[in-house]
Amino acid sequence: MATPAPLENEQVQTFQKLNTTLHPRKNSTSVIDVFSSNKLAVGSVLILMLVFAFAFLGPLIYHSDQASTNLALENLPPSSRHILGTSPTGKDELGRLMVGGQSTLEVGLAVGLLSTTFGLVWGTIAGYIGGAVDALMMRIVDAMLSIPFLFFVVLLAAIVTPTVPLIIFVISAVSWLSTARLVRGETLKIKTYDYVIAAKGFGSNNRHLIKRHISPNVLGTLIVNGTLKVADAILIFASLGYLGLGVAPPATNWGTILAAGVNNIFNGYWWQLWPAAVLIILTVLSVNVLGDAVRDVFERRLARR
Amino acid sequence: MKRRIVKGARFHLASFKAVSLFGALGLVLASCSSSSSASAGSSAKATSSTPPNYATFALHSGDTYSWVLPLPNQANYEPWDQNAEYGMYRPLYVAGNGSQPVINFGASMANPPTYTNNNQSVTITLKPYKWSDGRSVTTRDVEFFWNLYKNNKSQIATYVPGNFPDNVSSFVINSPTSFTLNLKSPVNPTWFTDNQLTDIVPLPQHVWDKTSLTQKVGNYDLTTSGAQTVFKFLTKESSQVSTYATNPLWKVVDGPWKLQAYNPTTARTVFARNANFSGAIPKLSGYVLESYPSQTAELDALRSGSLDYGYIPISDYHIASTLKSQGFTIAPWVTDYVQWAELGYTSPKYGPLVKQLYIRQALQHLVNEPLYMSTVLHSYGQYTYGPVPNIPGSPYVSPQEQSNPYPYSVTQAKSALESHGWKTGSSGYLVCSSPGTGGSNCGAGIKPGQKLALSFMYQTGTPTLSGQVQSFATAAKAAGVDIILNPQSQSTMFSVGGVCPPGPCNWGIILYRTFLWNYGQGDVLPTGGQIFGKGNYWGGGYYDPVAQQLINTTHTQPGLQSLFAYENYVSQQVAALWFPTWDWQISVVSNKLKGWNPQQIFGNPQPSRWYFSGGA
Repeated sequence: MATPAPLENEQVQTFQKLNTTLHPRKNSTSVIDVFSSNKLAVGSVLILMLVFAFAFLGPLIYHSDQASTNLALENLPPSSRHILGTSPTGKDELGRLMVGGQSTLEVGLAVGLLSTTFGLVWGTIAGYIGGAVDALMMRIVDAMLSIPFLFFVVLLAAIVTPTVPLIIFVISAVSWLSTARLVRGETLKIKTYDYVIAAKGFGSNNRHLIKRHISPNVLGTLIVNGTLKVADAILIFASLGYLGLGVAPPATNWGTILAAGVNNIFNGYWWQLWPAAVLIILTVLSVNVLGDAVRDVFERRLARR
Repeated sequence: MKRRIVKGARFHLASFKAVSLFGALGLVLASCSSSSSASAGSSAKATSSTPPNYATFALHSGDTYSWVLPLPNQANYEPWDQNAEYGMYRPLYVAGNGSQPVINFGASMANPPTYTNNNQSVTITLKPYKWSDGRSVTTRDVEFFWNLYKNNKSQIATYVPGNFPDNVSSFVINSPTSFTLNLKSPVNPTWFTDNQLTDIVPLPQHVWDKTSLTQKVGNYDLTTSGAQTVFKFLTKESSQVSTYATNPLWKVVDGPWKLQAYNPTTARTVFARNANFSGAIPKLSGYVLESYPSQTAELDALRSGSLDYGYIPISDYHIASTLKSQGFTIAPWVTDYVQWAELGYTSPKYGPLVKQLYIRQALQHLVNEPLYMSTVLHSYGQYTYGPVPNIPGSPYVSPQEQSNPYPYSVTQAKSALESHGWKTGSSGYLVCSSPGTGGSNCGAGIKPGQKLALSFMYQTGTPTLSGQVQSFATAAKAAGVDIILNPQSQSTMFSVGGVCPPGPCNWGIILYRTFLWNYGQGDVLPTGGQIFGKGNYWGGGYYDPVAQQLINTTHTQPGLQSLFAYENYVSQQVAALWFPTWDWQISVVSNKLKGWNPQQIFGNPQPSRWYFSGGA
């Protein structure tokens, strides 16, 4: 058997070197360094941890009946018995914020994950294969983007009673579209890079190219986009609740709580309004800041600053 | 009911989010803004958009004036539309006289009717009214109405099979000012006058009897096909809201008001005084119907002085004292309506459940009216135990209907259900353990092991309503009944609930926010034919031969005993779930505007009586 020519060995080594350069495997120390140097990011992580603890651990410590309505306790101001007062239907407002936070965060995370995953797969396939397949897949995306979201939601809400899984599905169904476009664009760009062409020349199959060379290179963009999707989903869910299209009672979310507070805006029941508003703003802001920090980590150029 | 069309509602995700978020933040910020101390009632003077001596009146948020023809179809059958229509085209007999649920004969177009031939003929004499173009209102105008109504009845919302015009055997013109309706059988004169003759509106035949705008007026209504073509043409023109202010059809009126301007985007409608009105000329030069997208916007308009006659929702009753100090008078508007939740009799899923009398009675036991009145309604309403409005002093309410036959009791509700074969299942809710149709069985159509669960659709955005519904669901849960709450927007309610029955319906119970129905707008005697009679639209498809017979008797037997028998039966049968009827609104009126009190019993504003202090 003939041994590989020295030149071929050199080619392989050069390619591997190039590949390593263009596909940085970040060591954990540098990631943590970059992240921890961003004080805003650290703060946002802390806030998110507190928000999660408030929503999911809070009810274990602070017990309240969120399933029953007691009109005799409607609109009570904060007191030792009800730390944040009561809702228009007599439910403890602090407990309500915790329960509402659970569904809000569940929807945010689930939509972020689902829309990012589906958008990645769709966009990568469309961008990499190209041609008629790309055209068809992207026209599907365009067609779905042209459907008015509110119409879609109102129609669904009229057919079935909204639940958290349904709302996750509905928001995900529209959220993945922009991700798919983004990923397709990145894929179209990356597949023209020399190292991808070289890998192809060395006999890498499509699956390997997508898995090894293309997907990892859109990962940074994708994760940043994913965090934005989480924030968007939280806002959309809150907006749906605000518009009365959220989950049905006794379930709730922060948007629904906010809407109830707005209904009592002129009565001065601040405890029904401000806490939900602050929680929404804090959470969305923290997720967005976290997204920026993650982008910094993945952008080597920025990380070197 | 009307299906609203959101103009230009083209939402994309991004814009939706932005709009929603900024809207929410805007409202949040509004909560901390200081209250305006602008003086109230500036319309006595000219504002930028309201002419001098014009008063402004706010419709409830979301309501818009969008129909002019006083022959409404089901999609355009709204009290605020009809009231404005009747301001231009006065009906033969005007329903409601101040706070009294009676005919206002003084304001009517005709003298009180004369019944003869054993109450089988009624003769009506017109008063000497004139159209705004100087022509007299004659029996030809009534005949024109008759022909259009008779030949297009299935498309007209006020039509009830068997009632007018089906119960009329002939329409006879005696003279230009007198006509006779010969009836197929003797009638209760009070019912016929109050609920049938009030539907008749003389229409300007000499202007409207044509099939296109350019066509010359003829006598097309005298044939069936001609009447149908004319009706189709008028209906089409009435749907062209952008032409309201310019269409020559709507220029000739016999009422006190003429349509002066209309904004098809905002539905802001300006009416000018009809200087040639044959009755008492209004003191105002005109009035404006304002439509606001939200209650917040409406309240802002009040505070800024650009609105003279507005309202606050019951949930905001706290701010009444503040508004009072800012130059407004606060007054609850009590109306002759009844609030009920329809039951889904025609629903394949829930119909078998709500058709059982004992289930309906148990559900009624779970409605805690005293609690709702003392909490979310803040006493702005009337207890309701049956189909007749329970307003203080009403002669129409039977002694039985003045007390609750099914007072709030979770124990009694559960006991009634358990005595019919329902047992608590593993989920904590009742399941049918004794299917069948016997006295101690669950009832026809109910399967063994079936959970006692009902979907309850209700309108979002009103704490007054959602508080009651959620409280009801909590009580039901305690009794073992699973109430699956399904809050929906107003437009969805109208499109999903409004067309059902004939269904099939996917709701077991449905409750509207502002659906405080009377007996067909314009009906005075609360006999309920349109609501609980055969083929009804708003009774959930309820039909009971006994109830139907009792309703029919109210149409033929003079006196109130037949009415009492009907209402007692329907109340006892829980044809619908009775909820407390809350006041139409808490009115907030500028102290500069006078003559608005008493507020009309059917919820219709009466601008003909209004005037500004020190004004014209």
